[in-house]
Amino acid sequence: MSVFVRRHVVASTFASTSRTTTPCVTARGYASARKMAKNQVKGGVKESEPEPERKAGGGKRVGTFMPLSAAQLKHPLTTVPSKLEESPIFSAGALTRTSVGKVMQFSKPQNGVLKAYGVPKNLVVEFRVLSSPYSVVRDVTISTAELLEAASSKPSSETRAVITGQAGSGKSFLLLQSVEYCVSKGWIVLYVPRAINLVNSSTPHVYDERTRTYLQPEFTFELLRRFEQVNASAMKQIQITRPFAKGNKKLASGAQLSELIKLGTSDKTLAPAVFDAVLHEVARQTQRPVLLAVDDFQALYCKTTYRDTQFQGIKSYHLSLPRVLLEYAGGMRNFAKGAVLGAISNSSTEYQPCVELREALGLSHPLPVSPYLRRSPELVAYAKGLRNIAVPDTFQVSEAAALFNLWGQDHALHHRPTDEVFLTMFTAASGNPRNFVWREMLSSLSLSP
Amino acid sequence: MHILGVLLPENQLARHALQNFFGVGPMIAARICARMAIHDRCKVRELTQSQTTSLTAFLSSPSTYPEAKHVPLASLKFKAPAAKPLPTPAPTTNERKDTLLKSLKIETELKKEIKENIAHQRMIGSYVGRRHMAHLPVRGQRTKSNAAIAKRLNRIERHL
Repeated sequence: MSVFVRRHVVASTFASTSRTTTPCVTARGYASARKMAKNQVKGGVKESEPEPERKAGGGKRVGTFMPLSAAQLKHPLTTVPSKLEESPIFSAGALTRTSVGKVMQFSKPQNGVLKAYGVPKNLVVEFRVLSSPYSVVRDVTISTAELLEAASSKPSSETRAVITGQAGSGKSFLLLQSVEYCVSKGWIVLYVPRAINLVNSSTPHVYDERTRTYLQPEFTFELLRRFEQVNASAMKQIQITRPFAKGNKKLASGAQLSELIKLGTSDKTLAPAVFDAVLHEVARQTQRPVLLAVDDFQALYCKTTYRDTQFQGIKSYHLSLPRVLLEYAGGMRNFAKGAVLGAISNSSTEYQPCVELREALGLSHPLPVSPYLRRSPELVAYAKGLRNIAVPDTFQVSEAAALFNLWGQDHALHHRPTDEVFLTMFTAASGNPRNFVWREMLSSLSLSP
Repeated sequence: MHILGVLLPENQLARHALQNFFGVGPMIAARICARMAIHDRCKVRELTQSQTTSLTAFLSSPSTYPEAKHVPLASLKFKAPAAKPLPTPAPTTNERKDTLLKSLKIETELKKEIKENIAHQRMIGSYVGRRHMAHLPVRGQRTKSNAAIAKRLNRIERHL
């Protein structure tokens, strides 16, 4: 059988933002295009199928926005320069109390975290529409930055926090801001944007006798590769203290960590062992603090879709990579300096926060929970000591206004950016950040009626 | 890819492609994939050589394929040793045995069993056998109308 370069694993496991220099995009509604073709193929003049009823709550179809190529941009509007380039770049130095309510763009993609690690699924389309990825600085951004600043001199077991909030309140954005903050401060950052891909049986798994867990070589390989890309300078400064030996690959102690990583990125079968060793060295060193950031954090505590050879479900803590993340989250392992930050996502109905996690974070349960319901002792242990960072459910008016102005300056709105339009959109969205962007501003771009 | 003469399209998910075998449906396919450590989103073109070999060995003779071994899993406080793995603990007596895959029949074996069942019904002179002989529905369906499938397919020497 021919060996395949598994690009699709990269594409599905880690999605990177597509960069465009212009705000002109096409809206692509796949389902409506297919319906149209079906009507035409059947021949004759056929009445178009009735439009689906708008869902209660305003479920307007937005479509998938793909950037146009430069050759297609012939309209004079597309040559107008965007003012987004003038907004400050998100960094630790630019983040002060006075910058609350300001819009900042993330670091340039060439060197950026977004390009290397990718972004959560619900942010991909949002980042495509504007000329450059952006975010709004909120109060909770500053408080999280202060928390991370305090954590930079303490072990990570003392700073283990989970970002929670209502759907669309900005949890993933806050986590992304925290990651960018730490990268700009020179931290070592390990970011997993879609932890669901660790537990949904989308990557190969193989049992390892030594660790008594199931390794995920391909996912670990990709994570290691991206880790090296973001933290290249730090890897050259750290020396390994434990000699590494696996198969016929050996590395003596005192070698640079970047050489160890190269072993893992050159051979997928070595990736899990190398990742383990790298994490051990990174946790031990005190030169730079370490941030472990995980989005879709609740998926680590859920049932996985993996099955063992006897068709029994494999628990998440029996998969090597989720187990490592859980051990750092639970405080069983810690970085000498740094923090562990997670963000819960409500997008997936299959991976909802479990009872143990909700109780540890003090969250309310959607349904009554019996006190006789058995709590898994392992999950209780992995969730013990987690701190809750609650994100406000709504934007402040100044924050929403800054975002609205940004869209106007980037020529991304089809309406004239007046106060009336802004207040209409803000009120219709009830201040919810996702609804404000998706249902109000993005929908104004949608070409479907 | 071909396994035992059956084409498994390269672009299909392995769990779906395995259903091209006569006698393998979604449940058995899921079990086979779990047995061979094939993850859910694995496509046929991504199967490794060892997985393909194991699949071929299993599907050629499911009853003689070695049973799945019990593997110990790390407990909460388990620390992996630096070099060699720890000795495997003895399996407990009340472990579940997988009889579903052990007694699996596919392709020719399954077709032979079906034909033998029909022949047995005829041999003992049962109602079911008589209905097969008469090319009529067997399970109490109406014959006043419909029954076209039964008239076409119900035979003693049924074509499978």
